[in-house]
Amino acid sequence: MSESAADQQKDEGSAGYAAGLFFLFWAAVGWAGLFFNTQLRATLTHPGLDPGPALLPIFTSTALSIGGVWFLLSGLVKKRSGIARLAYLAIVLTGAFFVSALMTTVWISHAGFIVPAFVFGAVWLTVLSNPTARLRERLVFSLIASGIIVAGIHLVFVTLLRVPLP
Amino acid sequence: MITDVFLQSFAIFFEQPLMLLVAVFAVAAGIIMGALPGVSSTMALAILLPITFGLEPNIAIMLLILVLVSSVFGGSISAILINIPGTPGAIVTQFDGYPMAQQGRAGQALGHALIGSTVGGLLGVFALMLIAPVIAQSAMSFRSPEFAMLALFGIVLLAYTAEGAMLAGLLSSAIGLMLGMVGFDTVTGVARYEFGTSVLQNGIHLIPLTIGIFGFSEVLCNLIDAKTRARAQVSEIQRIIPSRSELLSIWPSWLRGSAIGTLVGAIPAAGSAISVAIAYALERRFTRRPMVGFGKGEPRGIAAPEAANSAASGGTTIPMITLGIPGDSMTAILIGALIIHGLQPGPTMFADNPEIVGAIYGSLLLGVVLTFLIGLVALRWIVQVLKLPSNVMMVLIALLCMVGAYAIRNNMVDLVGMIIIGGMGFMMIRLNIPIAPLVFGLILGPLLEENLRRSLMISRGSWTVFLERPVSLAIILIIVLVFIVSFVGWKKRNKT
Repeated sequence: MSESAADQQKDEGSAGYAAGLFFLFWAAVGWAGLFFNTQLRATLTHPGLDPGPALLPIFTSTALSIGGVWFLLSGLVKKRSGIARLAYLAIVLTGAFFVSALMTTVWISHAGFIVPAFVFGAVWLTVLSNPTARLRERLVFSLIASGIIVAGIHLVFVTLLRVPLP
Repeated sequence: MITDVFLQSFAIFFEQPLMLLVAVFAVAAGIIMGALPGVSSTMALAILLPITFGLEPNIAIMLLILVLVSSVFGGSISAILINIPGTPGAIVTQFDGYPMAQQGRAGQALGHALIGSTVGGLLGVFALMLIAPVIAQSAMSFRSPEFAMLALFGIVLLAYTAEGAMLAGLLSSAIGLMLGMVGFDTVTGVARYEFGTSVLQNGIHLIPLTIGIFGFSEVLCNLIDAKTRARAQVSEIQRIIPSRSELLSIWPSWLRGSAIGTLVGAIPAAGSAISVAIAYALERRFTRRPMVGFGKGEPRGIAAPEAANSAASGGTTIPMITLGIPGDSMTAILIGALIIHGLQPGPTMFADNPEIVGAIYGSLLLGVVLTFLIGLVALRWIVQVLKLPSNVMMVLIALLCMVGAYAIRNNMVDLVGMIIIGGMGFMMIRLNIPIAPLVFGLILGPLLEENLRRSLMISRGSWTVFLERPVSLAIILIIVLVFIVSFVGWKKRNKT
């Protein structure tokens, strides 16, 4: 096994310094939530028997700080990022899907559910379809499938369950 | 009294034909979703949860349990036919199921899975009915220190079993605890983690978070598969019921598997994946004369793990209904469903909401029976869903996640939050950080905080209150033991 392959295998299994950074980010959020909130900080010095609402935030932020530093240092020492490798195509697809889902929600809030959901479905059904098939066939299938999916969701949630979708 | 409500819960389905029809649909949907690779039982529950919002609590919980029970069996279908387990609990089933399918005995392999699953499910439910009231009765004497330590115990144990990454699991729970604190503190009214925005003042709702973590993040993970996976070649299914002689020689495997599934499932966080692995290992150990040989299409290699897998469904509900601790990620979603309906699972549920306990018993039993009947009658047609293009599934699930997150409070913020949390879940998966403990932290956080603060108020700030009460002390000792075992395991792994 080559050295790079061994490194990759090492990164596949367990958390490394990247996880440490992730936990430290959350620790920073935790401490920021405590220090920039004067009302919450004031409860630390309040007289009374209740230890107050700041007790658990202190515990969780401390745990995340210590754990984050541990993962960061041990990952750096072992030269283990802990990031499961992804192909370039996978990163692009995932990122695009995530962003388009967020954009669809914005569109839904302005134009209602049906049209944005249909467009989202049709686009992604086409993108994720078998690239060996002809584009026209893929498009027709995507439009029909997206229409059925959106109509089915509308039937179940709006007609049967009376969820007031926008 | 529980027996009465148990029978009443059955009556709901048989007095109203529409309800029975809905139950049949729920079971069929559970089998189909369990069978689809990339759609775990947890994900199936997460995306179907919003459908139950408008229903009566007992009906809602019954439908979810029907989906849970049937999806557990559904997971074995793809494991046997295309060598991809539909659910984590079906991983072991493929070892002997797929070779059987390749030998032209796909129907019999599915038959062994179906019968094993039915026997395990029935025994698991009966064990639940026997054990749960006893545990709940004992837990009635628990006070704040015990509940605080129990919540901590749940978090630690759930992190311990998080794919061998206890520390990462604990820190994931800590993030869940933090997210659970967003909004106003119920005792003092002080806002926490809202960073001056009104959007966060209402807090982060459990359901959009659950859908994001278990549903949307999995869609993101499966996108690349959806693009590249070829349409499955599904083996032909002939006879489903195995021969009488085979069935007669296999029954000890069902019993062993069921016993293991119930016992292991009842341990918080142990879940079905561990129970099936133990059941399979023990089956190999105890079978002196295998019919074919393990790994080559041995029916016992399907029967025992499937019995364990189904029995674990009953087992995992024991800590849920008796102590309010999720047995696994699926019961975490069930707890979420109960909380939405204003119910708090735990020992008091037996006295305060016996109809819910009865509904849980009844739906587990009905789920097992309906899964068997539907499996027997419709399996040949159900397996055709494996030919469904995975891109259709991914888009459908993504849209269901969106609608489900919105439907809980008719709030666009929940929808956006679900997608962001889904993205975060995807990132955590890629960073090898277990995601399930985050949800456990969110569920157990309020129980932990409320009882921790109440205990300290009662003891006038003295932390020794947790050591003075025997049950609380025992739980602390078990937590310490879990840490020691985990530390020793970590040291050993580092040495090798």
